[in-house]
Amino acid sequence: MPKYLLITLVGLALAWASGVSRAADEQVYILVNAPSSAEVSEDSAKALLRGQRRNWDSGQAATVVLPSRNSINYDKTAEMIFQTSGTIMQRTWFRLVFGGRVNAPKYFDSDEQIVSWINEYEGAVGVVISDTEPNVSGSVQVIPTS
Amino acid sequence: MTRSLLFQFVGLTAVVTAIVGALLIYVVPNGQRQELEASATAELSSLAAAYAVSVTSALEQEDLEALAGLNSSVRDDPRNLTVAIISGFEDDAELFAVFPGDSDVTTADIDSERYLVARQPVSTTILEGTVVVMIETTSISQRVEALNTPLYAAFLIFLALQIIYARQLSVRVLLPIIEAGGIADRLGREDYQGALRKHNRDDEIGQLASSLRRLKTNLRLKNRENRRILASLEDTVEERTAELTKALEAKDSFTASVSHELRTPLHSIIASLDLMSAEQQTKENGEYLVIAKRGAKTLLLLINELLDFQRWEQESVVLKEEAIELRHFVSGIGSTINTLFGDSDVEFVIQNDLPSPIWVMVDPNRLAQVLINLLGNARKFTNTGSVTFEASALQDSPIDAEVLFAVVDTGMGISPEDVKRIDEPYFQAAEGLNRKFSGTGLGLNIVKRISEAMFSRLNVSSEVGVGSVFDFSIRLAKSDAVERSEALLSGIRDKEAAPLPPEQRRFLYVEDSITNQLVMTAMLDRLGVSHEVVSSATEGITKLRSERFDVLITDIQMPEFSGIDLLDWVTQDAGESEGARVFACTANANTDAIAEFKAMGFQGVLTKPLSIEDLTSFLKSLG
Repeated sequence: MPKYLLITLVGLALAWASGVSRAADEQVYILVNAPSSAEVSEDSAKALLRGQRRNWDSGQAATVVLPSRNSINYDKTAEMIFQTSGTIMQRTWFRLVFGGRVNAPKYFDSDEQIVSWINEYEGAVGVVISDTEPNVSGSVQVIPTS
Repeated sequence: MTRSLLFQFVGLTAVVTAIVGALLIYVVPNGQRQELEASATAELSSLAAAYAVSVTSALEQEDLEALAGLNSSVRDDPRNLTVAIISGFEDDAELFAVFPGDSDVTTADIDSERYLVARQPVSTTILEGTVVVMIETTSISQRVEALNTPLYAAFLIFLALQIIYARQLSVRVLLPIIEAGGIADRLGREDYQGALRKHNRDDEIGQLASSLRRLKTNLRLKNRENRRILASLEDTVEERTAELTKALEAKDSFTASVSHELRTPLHSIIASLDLMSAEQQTKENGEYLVIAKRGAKTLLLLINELLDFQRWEQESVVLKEEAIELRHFVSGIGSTINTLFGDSDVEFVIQNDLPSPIWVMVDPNRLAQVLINLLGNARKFTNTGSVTFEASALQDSPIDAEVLFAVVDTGMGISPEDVKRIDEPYFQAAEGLNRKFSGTGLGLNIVKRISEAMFSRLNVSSEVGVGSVFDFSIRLAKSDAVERSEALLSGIRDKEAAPLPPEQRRFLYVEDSITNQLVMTAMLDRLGVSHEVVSSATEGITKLRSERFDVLITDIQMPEFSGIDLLDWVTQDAGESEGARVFACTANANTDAIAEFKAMGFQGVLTKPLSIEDLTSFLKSLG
């Protein structure tokens, strides 16, 4: 076997192992910047993320933050939160927003952007997928979820 | 003009009101609806396009905020818009999303009449379908209905104005015109009574009313004037009529007098000549008697012609028809006329081609008068050659016959100019010859009148120096069996001539004329009649009451008391002569006079001049 071929094979093996390893280490975190820093349960957060609720318990409108089609976590987020594909998740959110049931979500291309936005805006709730707990501000609640 | 104009006006007003009502209540709202729908459709199309862009952006670029913004504007729109996204097409089409979210719209509603829709296709990576913007048509209807209220109000106002206008026009224009029409109609029927209503108006109606009032006044005055003139004319007419009547009465009286005064002496002359003829005479005296009798009879004929002409100027010819056998009648006329030709060089030919027998109804005296006149004229104006008397039946049926009579002569002839005037009264074609020929010139005029009375027409054709033809045809009804038998019996009685059976009755003759007394006495003696003669009505009544008489013959025109007075006395008290038969004897013997005498009570009329034959017939008729 030629050398370059061998090297290529070894590299691919290592990357896959890294991805598996990485996948084996990643965690879905729901980030919640609830109004008045109220504690929010995982179910309430998921309900907001799924568009089943429009507002926080306080009545303030919630802003859902989701990974865009360009994000690596697009499909995974759809699978973890909606148990469906990204396309379906997008169609679902479109129908909900079109029907006037919920406010329009925000879409970001990376987790860092999602975290940064949620840290900044009260009333935001979003999803990131990382192997380490994201670095959030004091008012943001991090809810690990599976 | 009147009622129909009113009805036309009312009808027109109703039609206009109906048209305006239809416009305001139906046409305008419908137009408005169509405009609103068109406008709405355009807006919906525009909105659908905006939505299509926004949906595409939202799905492709994950920009859902713009979509939310559109929804806000739709939510705020008062027209109740609904926006739906249909994924798929045709049989695969299904409702993907709808705003507002609680709307119950289904895909079936989109194509229904309930909604006005605009569509715009959408094609993205995650969705292919159609954006549909919808508006319920009821919202347009509501807007249209909102417009109706002012339209209804406008219509009601218009209707009220129409009613007011119609009433004003009727009261101020049409009714005055109707009234004026009625007034004009009354004036046309010369009804000038009744006051005219005053119209205190200075418009055309007021002027019309004033004009009518003036017209009425003028017409009433004119009518009054006309009545006055008419009354005056009627008075004048009455005067003239009275004068004319007086003149006619005077003329009639004169005619009657003349008739009496001429006929009475003639009666004596002819009767005396008849009596003398019966006596033995020398040959010379016999010839003189013939000449004298001929002259007297000619004079009588002329007098009768004059009297006939005078009478027929005022009244039409009256025909007394009886049944005659026409062929025999023609033969008789021929025999009578034949005597005129005597020793002359002129030949008289009778061409009687009538069938035998031919019984017809005709006035024999008048027909004889016509034929004798024509034949007499032909004899008078023909010196050489011949005179032919023709009679033939042009048509003969059981009901009637058309008979042609013609007189053809070879006489002097008549010029065409004179032919046209031949039947003028008093005209003789030979006048230019210093009246070479005798006669009054009335004969042909009389012939013309008689022939016209018989519904015939005298035809004349002539050539100077060659001769003339006078002809006429008449249609005569056939007589029936009863009429023929009466004629035959009458003929038989006529033929049963003298001698009379001995006259047992006693006659009284009342006559103021000595001459007539002598003549009548001679005739009665000749006939063996027992009689007496008196000269006045008073003598007559004295005689009648003191002695028995069976028959009274009285003259009419007598001094002091007339024959009519005598009749009255006899009717009141005839004394010994109770039941005597009274007869008038008069020269005034026209039809009316005879009828009048009989109406007075005379049983008959003897006409002067009387011949012995006349007297004989009279005695036979007494039975």
